[in-house]
Amino acid sequence: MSAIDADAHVIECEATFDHLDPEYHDLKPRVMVQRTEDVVLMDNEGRQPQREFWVIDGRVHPKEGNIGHNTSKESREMSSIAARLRHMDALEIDVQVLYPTVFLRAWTDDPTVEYAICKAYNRWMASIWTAAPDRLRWVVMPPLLSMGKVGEELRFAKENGAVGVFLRGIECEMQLNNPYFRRLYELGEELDLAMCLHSGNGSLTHHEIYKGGGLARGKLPVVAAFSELLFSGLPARFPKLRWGFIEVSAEWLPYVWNDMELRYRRKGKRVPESLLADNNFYIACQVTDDLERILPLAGPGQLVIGTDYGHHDTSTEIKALRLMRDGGRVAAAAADRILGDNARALYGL
Amino acid sequence: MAAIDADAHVVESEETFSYIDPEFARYRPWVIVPKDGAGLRLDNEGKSAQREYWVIDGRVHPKEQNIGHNTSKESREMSSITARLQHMDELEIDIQVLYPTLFLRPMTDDPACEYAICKAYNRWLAEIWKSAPDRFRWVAMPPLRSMDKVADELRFARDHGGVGVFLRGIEFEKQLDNPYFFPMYELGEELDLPMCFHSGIGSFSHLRIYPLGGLGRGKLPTVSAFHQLLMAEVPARFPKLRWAFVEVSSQWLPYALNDLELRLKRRGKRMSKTILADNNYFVTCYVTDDFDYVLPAAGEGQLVIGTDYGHHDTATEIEALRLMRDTGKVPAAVADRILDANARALYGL
Repeated sequence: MSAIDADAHVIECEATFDHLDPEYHDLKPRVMVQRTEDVVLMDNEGRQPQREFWVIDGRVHPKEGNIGHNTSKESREMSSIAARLRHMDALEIDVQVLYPTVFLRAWTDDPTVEYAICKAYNRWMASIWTAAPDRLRWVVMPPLLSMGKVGEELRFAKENGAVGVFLRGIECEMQLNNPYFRRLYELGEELDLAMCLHSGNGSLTHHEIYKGGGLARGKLPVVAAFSELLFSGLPARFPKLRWGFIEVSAEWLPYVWNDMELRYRRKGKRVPESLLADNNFYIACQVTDDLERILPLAGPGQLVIGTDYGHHDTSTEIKALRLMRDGGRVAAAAADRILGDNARALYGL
Repeated sequence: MAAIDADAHVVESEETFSYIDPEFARYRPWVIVPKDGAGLRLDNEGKSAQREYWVIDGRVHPKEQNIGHNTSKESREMSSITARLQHMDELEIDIQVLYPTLFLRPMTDDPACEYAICKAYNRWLAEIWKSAPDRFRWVAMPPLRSMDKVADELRFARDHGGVGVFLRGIEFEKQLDNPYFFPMYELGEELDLPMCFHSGIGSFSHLRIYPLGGLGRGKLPTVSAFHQLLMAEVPARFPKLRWAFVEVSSQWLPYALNDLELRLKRRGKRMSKTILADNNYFVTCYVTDDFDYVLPAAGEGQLVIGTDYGHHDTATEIEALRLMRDTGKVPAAVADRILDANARALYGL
């Protein structure tokens, strides 16, 4: 039985942007450091201060925030694929699905910048995949501000190891049930790429309101998107499309389910027991979730799990897959599905 | 044993804004209707159509949305206090704490306009209170863009039956743990007025992201505020201040507390098992909440309940107080606390 890490990360480095098209050279993200010796303390038990920053489209982003020091730099930055694979072996992980890091936050509202950087990132990921096509899969960054270019990027990604499309809870300052995104969903259905809504936020506006970070900035927009997509009936328009809700735990499911029941009731409808399965919805759970309460709602086929490899935040548990398998929190058969079949189903592996 | 409706509504009418100071007459909201007389369908099983709109500071707001037709117009608009009290008697409600309707959404970013309409609203509620001071209490609308005027309004409210301060999950494009709001929290502590975060938002930016409504627009920002304030340890700075989270159900409590626990653990802290009580936090529940799941998280002293009287949305249950008392979803002693003692504690009754 394989163990599929449904949410692992790469940490972007300067090599990521070596893949920028020459015509966009001026847009290349740069790494800056503070001129003085002052450092910004990190929330990582003092392991590393924050000295380096990305500058992307005139905005500063911490480069060393959310780094998991239980992974090596070469491993998380993919400068040594061999190191990454060895660590995966040590953790008994067969396959990882790779998500970005710096792009979890809102980083530009300029379509040209977005296209250039997404294209570079996608080429970088393709090169990583070719090094270990059976072990490393990835989600493509779509240049959503240029919907006309999304088809080309998704096709490239599909041909080069991608298994899904990276999205956040808000994109282009819009909810994900906005008709603007329909072309993206059509493409996803056509190319068999899952829509993977990861913790994070693509809204500069929302970032401005929630400067302090926290639950509201990255997590709740994805929870909201889950609810809004279902209630809008949008998944039914794309019946073959699969949807993942990643790195937001599954602990909110009883709440959202309860809210959905109230909303459906007002329309004279009932929430079907197999709501998630009916809509091809999958959720990445955490080992700290109350799975006894969540599994009956989610259904046996709809939970997956990830380690959040490379990071250091409330979702990170590098041993998550082992704990799921060996911790006895769910029946062995359920654990096997979460670790294997469900992730295969979500990502079309 | 009293039955206290911790979340009931008034529906503003032209009478509300007859209280506008003459010097602010130009900010007085007015009502428009379609020239062709056609109404838009509403999500209220065809009971009425949307024809009337408020115009406030150049923006149009539907006037007939979210109207509960199981209440009479004179009752919800308070044009007949007698009718309201009669209906409360029928529903076996002793006291209602009154919240606004129009102000659940952002109205203006003009400080003068905001001050004018808040002041008018507060004077209207003071008049309502005078007509039945033992049966009606209300929450004050603070003119947050003019923090120097907030004190006068809160003092006026406290002297005229106000028992809390109306807030939403985002105010003035800011999170509620922003130090901007601390002077108001000091005042609340001094005047014994709890901060009452009601479902709704005070952010045009957020409204623009969520034009299609849903969980993300009005409910989750209030859940966010619950979480942010605790993470930022704001309640500890104002130890006598009480905080309420109103009309968002309580079903999300286990999720929010699970997340909080993970974040606190990263800071080397442990979450108190009585975190709500420790911080004078109260949450309004719905009769549809899973109390087996919620009560252990909340604690028996921290839940209150409301009918959402006057409205027609997922939170509305005009029989909520009776159902809480009679259906046995919680032990009788707990039901009594939710209906009476907890609401008295929250609102200082």
